[in-house]
Amino acid sequence: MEMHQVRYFLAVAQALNFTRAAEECHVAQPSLTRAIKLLEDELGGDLFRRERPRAMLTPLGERMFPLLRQCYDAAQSARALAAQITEGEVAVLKLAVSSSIELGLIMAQVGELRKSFSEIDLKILRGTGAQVIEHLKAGEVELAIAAEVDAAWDRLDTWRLFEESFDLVLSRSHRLANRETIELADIEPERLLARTHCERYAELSEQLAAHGLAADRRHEVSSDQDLLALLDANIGVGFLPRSVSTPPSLVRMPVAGFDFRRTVCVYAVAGRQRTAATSMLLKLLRAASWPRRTDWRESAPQAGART
Amino acid sequence: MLAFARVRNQESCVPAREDDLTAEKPASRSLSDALLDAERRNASLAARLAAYREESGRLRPDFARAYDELVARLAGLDRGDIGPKVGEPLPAFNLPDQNGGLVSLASLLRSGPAVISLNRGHWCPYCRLELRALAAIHGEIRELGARLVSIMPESAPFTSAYASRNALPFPLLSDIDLGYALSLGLIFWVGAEVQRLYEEAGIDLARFQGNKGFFLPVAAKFVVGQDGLIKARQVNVEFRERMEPAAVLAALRALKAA
Repeated sequence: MEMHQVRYFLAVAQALNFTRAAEECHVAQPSLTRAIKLLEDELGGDLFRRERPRAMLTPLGERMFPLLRQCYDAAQSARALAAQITEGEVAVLKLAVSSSIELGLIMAQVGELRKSFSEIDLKILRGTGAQVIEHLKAGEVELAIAAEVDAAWDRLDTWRLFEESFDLVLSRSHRLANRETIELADIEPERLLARTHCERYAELSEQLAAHGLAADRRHEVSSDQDLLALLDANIGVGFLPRSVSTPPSLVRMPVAGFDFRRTVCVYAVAGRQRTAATSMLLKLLRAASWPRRTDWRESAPQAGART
Repeated sequence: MLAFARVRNQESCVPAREDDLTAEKPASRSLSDALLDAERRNASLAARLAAYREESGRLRPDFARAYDELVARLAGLDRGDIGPKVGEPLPAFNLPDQNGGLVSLASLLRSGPAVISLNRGHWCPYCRLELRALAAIHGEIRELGARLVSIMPESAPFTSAYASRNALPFPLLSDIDLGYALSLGLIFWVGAEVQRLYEEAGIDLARFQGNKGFFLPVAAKFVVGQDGLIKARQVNVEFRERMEPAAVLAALRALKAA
């Protein structure tokens, strides 16, 4: 199939009217109709039920619409990108990243992107998962990176990047620091650092409660920087996602029998124009090989190891 | 066609398990044997592809029939002339390789001509025969001053494992959402029947590609001169046939002589 056929299909699928779609695409209606007919022949079925003056999507059309839109957007950005780079464009990148995610996570992709542009212009906003989605909705940023967010908004495009587990993190001076294994019962008397900026905190809290670890007597923090400072001073214990770095002064290990996970996602607004740089960053993030659940901490000191 | 063991059907592109990537576990050992036999033949790529096609057709006539029908439908649309032509510029691309590094057509052409291979995926036995044949002549391609890349609609977890497993000495670029292939007018939907067969066989394109459309690129090869123009090409709607490596070398030699 060809780009123009897909473009015409998307136009009719959105306008639900052949005449209007032809106008929007600046082509004669017979050309548009013919192109769609060719696409239908190729796909092996009708995409529209024509009920003059309207066109309704058939089940095949309904299926193809979001899928072809995704491919079309990618093709559009590929074309635009080629044009921009030859003109020595500046990469404009406006992102909102959840406070529960380290910026370092995406720096390889940002760094790679930068090589393709003459200059890069960055805006990075932070906040909770819900807040970064609000920044996205408000048009302040073009991409948001966060764990699962219950946005209930149909214009939100979501791409899952990777899944990761959480570890228990404690000071080397902590009484549990030299244990070979730690179970939930072991941390019941401890004061947990409530990572309130984390998208998964409520769920974590619930699951801990289900295992008999009450929510009272917790310290509250609203940034990982602060959490690490407290842990360093041997205040409390915390659960951290595997991709969040910890200094060598801290010990981290999984809690036996308690595998709590999150999925890091990238979000964008459906149908909104993106800069070439944003499209490219999205492509780099989605194409990337993310370390798997157990890989992040392979080189990190484990509980019980003496350095 | 290589049939993988049933894998958990996931919509995300998160690779599930070590063994999905490092060990091909065919549901039927015979298909994998057929592929190995075809590969070992001391013959042209065309002969190897034909040998695999014939034997896999006997082992899985349902796939052969579905493929025949799909190719017939696509070919019947007068698509013999699809994609950019000889003499035209190959549209620019800037895609990530299996290590996350961006590779642009412009950068490839700085040092000499380029051979651009549009491939279907790590799961496709015909692509595997073709890419291994290209790996075998990669030294000669480099001696002729040219670069070779393969472009696939899959993410790095799949291209990277595939490149190491098959010792491919050239980059595999990820064309997520088949954007580049569509910009060339070279994509198609596999159709309901082939989609069903793939799903049953555990060929989880949605997971490999991070795209649920079950779209594939049309297998193609472009030899591009340093001027950015296409010097030779072969577009295979019949994806069980591919450009012969000898023809790629011949095109590069002709360029060098010119």
